Amino acid sequence: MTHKQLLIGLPNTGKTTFLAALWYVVDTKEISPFLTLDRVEGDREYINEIRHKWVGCEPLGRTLPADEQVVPMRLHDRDTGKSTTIVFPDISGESFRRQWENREWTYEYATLVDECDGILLFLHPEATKPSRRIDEANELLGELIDINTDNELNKGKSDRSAISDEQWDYSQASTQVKTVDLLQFVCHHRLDSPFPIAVIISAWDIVMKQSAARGQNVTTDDWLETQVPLLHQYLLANSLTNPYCIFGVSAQGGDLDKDTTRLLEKALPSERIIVVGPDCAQNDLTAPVAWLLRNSHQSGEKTNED
Amino acid sequence: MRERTKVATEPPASEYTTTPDEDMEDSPTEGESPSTIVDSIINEEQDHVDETPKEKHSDDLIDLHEGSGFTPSSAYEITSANQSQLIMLAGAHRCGKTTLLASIYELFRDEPLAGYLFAGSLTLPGFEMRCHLARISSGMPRADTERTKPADDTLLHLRVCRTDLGESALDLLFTDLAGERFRMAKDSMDECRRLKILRRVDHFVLLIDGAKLAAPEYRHQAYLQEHSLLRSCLDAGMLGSHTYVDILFTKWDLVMPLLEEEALLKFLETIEAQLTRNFEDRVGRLRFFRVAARPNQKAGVPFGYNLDQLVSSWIEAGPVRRYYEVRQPVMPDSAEMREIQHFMLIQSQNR
Repeated sequence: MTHKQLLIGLPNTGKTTFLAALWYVVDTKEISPFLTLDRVEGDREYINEIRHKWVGCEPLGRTLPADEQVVPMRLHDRDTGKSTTIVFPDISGESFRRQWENREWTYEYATLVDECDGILLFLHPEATKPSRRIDEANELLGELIDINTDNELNKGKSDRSAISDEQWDYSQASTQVKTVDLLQFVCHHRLDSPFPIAVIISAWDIVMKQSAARGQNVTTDDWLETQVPLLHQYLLANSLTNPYCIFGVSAQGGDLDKDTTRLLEKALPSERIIVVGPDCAQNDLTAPVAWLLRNSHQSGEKTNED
Repeated sequence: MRERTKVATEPPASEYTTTPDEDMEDSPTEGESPSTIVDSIINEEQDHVDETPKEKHSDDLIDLHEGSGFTPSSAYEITSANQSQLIMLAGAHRCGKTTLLASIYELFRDEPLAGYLFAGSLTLPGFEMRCHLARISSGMPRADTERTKPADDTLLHLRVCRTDLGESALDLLFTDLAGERFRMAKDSMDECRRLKILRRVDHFVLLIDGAKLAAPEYRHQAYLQEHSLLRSCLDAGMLGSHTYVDILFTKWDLVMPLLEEEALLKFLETIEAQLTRNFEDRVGRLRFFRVAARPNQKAGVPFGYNLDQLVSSWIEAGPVRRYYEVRQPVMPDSAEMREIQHFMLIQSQNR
């Protein structure tokens, strides 16, 4: 049986890094993941290359449209005892950006959408762009500046009025709006045929550090609800048809600019990985993949977990 | 300030209007069931519906939904698939129609609204475009809304569902039409009848410009314009007992500071009484709302003031939904269904 999981996400959301680290985890079995490699299949040049960079804490760079690959892995599920070939089309973030802006996709991608059994949806805290209203900004400025000081406000206003107003273009939409539409394209094309969604919040180590610094304990659901509330509502509203589960993932384990030494000193590279999600071990990057496998229409089981 | 293009004296013909040669032979009958009206119009328009949404380009590309807005014919893909409400925002130029729409969308952007979740929209670019001038990315010194030109007439889509997921989702279709359309409809029954989408409307939302209500030199004219528009639509048979009517006093943040003025208070009471007396028994429901879609920050009025009440009322009760609650839905074929609905509606009116 072949199971196809589509990785969807705008540029710089960590899709390829996830694949590279996943390949390492299932192949080496350093930890006891849900899924392990049963046997190798197909051309592995691409997946080996990105894994090589990941192990060496080298930046993977952005996947270009010309580099898009389909990555197959024959994986064994430790709980069910079944082996399944899971195929991951690694589509560039640029291609998804073009879907939103140009309102078109390729026949090849349409076929992948038709055939996919689940979606890994990627978001990145530092690539999540909001779109704030002028009144919200003014309110914030009012808190920061003494509003009795009219000179300050007038200066601010005159500076802003000197900025030429821009025509709207698609690139100005917020991350959550674009991401909702990427999912809607899939739903629309599949005529609402159901599929589960594993939401991956990449670079979760950043969120953990920021929330610790504020003395908070931010959960993955908290993050989704506060940072991308429109997307959160969309997922919830459509969860009876398309169940979803949220995972916080750091495939690199830290900032490659600052933490490389620390990361390379780990005896087991798998220990770099951080995964936060329901019923999964801290380093088990196969957890989202396993969840999708167990919640696809093929398996006939559906749950909604956070 | 952005330059505004000049307004055409006559808006161009569009799917929203008929040309004189295309005027319908039959006058619309007040009392026709909504489904009868919708089905008859859809049957007319289906001849022109593009049946091939996905076209192959020479470089193997497939078009996705365009997203800027629907026409009445392309909206069929929504109205035929799911329960929907068609909401028309009507009123003079710059009374706040597009700003109201943009603000409803912005409210959903941040959190559920009035107990409802955002469940999707096939016109996200359309909404984003309309919000642009009120966002930081526009570089504007203060929030504004692009004026809707007749060529930009469109339908915007929102899908909503209850936060407890208790009922199936509901599709809302909002018209965003240029003020010129309504100016012409107000002055001419023929022009009113040419605005054929009116016959399909579930909620007719008439906006009276609060900025003008607050100014003694403009308030009577502003009211009279909208009173004339509503009368024109009813007398032309385009609205009737199959329509729920909401009358909005917009930009209420500008009115609120003046509510101590006796003349204004008396004026507001008078116009509400007049509108109720003249029109309440001719429509399915008539209500009044005071709203401030994008209030001035110094007014101390929250963004989207009272829009939650307005939106929840559209979702929770519409003339078609109410009709189906009272009459148990049966599943004969569509022609038989139209006959039964027409008969039952006549019966209910004769009681």
